[in-house]
Amino acid sequence: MNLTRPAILLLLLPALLLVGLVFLLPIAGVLSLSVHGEAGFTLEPLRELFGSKVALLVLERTFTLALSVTAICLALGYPAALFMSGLSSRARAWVTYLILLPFWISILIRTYTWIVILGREGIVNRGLAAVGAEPLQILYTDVAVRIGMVQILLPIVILACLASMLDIDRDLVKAARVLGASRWAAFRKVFLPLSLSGVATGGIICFILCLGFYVTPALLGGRRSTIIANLIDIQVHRTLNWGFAAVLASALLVSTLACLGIFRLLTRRRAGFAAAGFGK
Amino acid sequence: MRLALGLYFALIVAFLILPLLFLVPISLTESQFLEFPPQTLSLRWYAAFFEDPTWVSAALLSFRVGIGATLLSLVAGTLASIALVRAEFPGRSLLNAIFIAPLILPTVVLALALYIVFLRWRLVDNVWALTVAHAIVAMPYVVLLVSANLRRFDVTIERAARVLGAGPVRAFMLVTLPFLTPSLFAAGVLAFFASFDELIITLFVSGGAQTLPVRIWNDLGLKLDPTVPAVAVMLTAVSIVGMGIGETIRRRNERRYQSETSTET
Amino acid sequence: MANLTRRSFNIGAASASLAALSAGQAAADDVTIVVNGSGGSLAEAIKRLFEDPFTTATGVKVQATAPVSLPKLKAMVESGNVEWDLTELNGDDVALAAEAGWLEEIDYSIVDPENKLPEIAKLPTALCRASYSTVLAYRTDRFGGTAPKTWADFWDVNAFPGPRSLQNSPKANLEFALIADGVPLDKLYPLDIDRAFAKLDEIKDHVPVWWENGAQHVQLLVDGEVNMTSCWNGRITPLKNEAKPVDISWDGGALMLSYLGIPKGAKHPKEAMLFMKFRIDPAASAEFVKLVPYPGFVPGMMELLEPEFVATLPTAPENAAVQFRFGADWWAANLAPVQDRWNEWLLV
Repeated sequence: MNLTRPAILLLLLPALLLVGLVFLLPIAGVLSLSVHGEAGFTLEPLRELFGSKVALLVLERTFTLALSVTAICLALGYPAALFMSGLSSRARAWVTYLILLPFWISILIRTYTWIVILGREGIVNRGLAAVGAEPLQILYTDVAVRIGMVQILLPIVILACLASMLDIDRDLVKAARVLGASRWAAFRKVFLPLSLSGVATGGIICFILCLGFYVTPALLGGRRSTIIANLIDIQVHRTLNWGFAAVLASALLVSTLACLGIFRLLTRRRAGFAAAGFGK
Repeated sequence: MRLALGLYFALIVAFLILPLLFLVPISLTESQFLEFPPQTLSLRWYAAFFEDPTWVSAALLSFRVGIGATLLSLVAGTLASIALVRAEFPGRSLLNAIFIAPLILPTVVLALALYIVFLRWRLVDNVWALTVAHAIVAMPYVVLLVSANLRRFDVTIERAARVLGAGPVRAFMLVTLPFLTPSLFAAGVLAFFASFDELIITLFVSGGAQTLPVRIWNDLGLKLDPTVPAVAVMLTAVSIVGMGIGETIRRRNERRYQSETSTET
Repeated sequence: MANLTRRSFNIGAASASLAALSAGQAAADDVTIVVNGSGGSLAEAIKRLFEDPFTTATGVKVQATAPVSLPKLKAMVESGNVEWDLTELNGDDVALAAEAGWLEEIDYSIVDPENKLPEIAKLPTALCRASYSTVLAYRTDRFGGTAPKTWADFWDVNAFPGPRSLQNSPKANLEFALIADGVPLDKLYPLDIDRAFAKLDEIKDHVPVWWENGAQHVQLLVDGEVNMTSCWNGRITPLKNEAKPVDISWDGGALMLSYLGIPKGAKHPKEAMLFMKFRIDPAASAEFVKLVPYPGFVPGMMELLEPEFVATLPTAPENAAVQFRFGADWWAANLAPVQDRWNEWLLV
């Protein structure tokens, strides 16, 4: 489809205005603090970043956590979306509503219910004690953080996967079956490749959201569960070291965009491969 | 196979609504603390919500801002996605990155940045400005989901409509938009809840106005009383009723306009 | 006689300034001051007890905002767009803000014309509004009749086993560690940072959770998640009222102050100071303290309260005697490096 230049501009205009005024302009002011101190240009915050064992450690932990939660969400979410895509539209609407129910509960309060469930005297440990087993320390560990985050992010991943599965032309799968492919082969060779874009979208959203998590690690995690948003929050609220906060945020932004860029390059190649495979 | 998938799905749903199941008894306690199981049952925290005008107005404000931010981000995000997917122009991938960047940046940084410019523009404590600020964190969902969907769309169908005499806007409305419905729905839902549960930006730019998360947060320094789970339970109940009504209407329309599509794997 | 004259003169001066104010106000039509506080469920009580009477008496309206936020104060003063006329601030935040020049000088001839406030309540740029304590709270049902009373007991994991909690902040925790290590209350400042962290090392692995806010530490005790924790004194009375097995020890507690200050460049500093005067009204303050047990130093307020209730307040003489005054100035001067060290200490 060929769009004329004015048409492109017109389509982009609302989003550009929004992003320009309410994102780029304000954020430029704050991020410039990373190289701009009271006495003009400075590299002090940058030096602080590379000299800070805490910052580098926390960045690394943040990305590890984000990757593992994303992997768990995709592994759990894809089959769930697959099931939903096979339902009649009426039934699907209802189970979609079910999946969305947790959204109505503030993340703050959802986090508190995990304390009731996973705590030292919570349901799980009371159950274990009833059968004579040793109590488990789940709360205030990375496991609790992951459980809490997956519960919050899973509906988003399911929704993203489902959105892509619903626009797959089911006749293609049927055609494959008619041509003698087994159920599994038809799924693997036809359905799966076509649904991968939704998986990628869901994965990207999930990954990005993980990086910004704040409440869940702070309330469910132990002392080692600090992630980058917690650290930035301390710089903004407590020590008022906004230059360092700006550098941390820039580091997060750059490394995330780099991750997404690499991911896109990899999937582009893979998408070509899938299309070729489909032709066979 | 279907049965196994169905069982698995039931487990997933159970996991997702597990906190809700616990919140119902927790909200019914007589105590001013969250306790499970509750020792004595009472509806006092439900009454507390309606007796305190700040809770009710916080709920209303959350809906107002959430709906505004959703509409704004859906329109802006969908239009931008069309340009991003269908046109070739320099700086396209940079623009793509910029559109999703608000989601990457920790909200506390964006909140501080917005507060500084809103002070300058005298927009602190302005509901419209708050809505626009929420739209900025909601839009990345729209751009991501809708452009992914558009990329899968077979443009030849729309072209066929054009050939048959439809104008570009009409062709888009009649052919492409229905195709985009699943992703628009998903994007709208995610956008709405991104706003509905937004805390940090609102704390900075809303001045005296309180949304639900802010109302909860302002109490947290001191206490967490069972009004909070009571609100969660009520919201869920209202949403179930609302969804029921919405579904009835949708089904009536569906029956009128299109036949049920066959959906067998 | 002389005393009486001075007094009546002061009252005269106050009413003169009041009259001048209301004259100016008639010209400016209606003035609204923006008062920033903690918000939440207390906002309603503050409106009823302080804001509404103030508006009735002076015609100045009050708009309440929340929450208390140091970064907001910095942003608004530095950009010259000051949103608030008055804000609540913690002790160390006041020290930091005063040092940075973010607060207006207070004219105590408006706030306290009869000069009744004790010196402790009057900083040049901030008026003490409330006091609260961070104390040791514990479950009474976990230690077989005995109870931890001091920070040394808190550190003694053999005599008092089980998980405990502390705030996720170096503030006051360093002091508690030093007290546990035997430093007398009046010799705490300047803090021996190395010694404090060495003592904290001993307890580190017995603290599964580092609390973030007031709601959380109360919930930790209710849920039995920990056997003891550092805790703000205010939420323990309601717990005891519900017969929860929880108590506190004032021994070695940190007595902290909370203030009201006027941001530099505020649009209505005079009206804000006049509102401060209403905030130290004894009768209204007594009512307010019954709702949240964080008393200021309002003269004549304690006399309006039941003695049994006064005994539960942080500033009751027998409670104040065993606590230390939290060193807000020391923390304002040393926060950044200590906070960095704290972050690193927690992670490794």
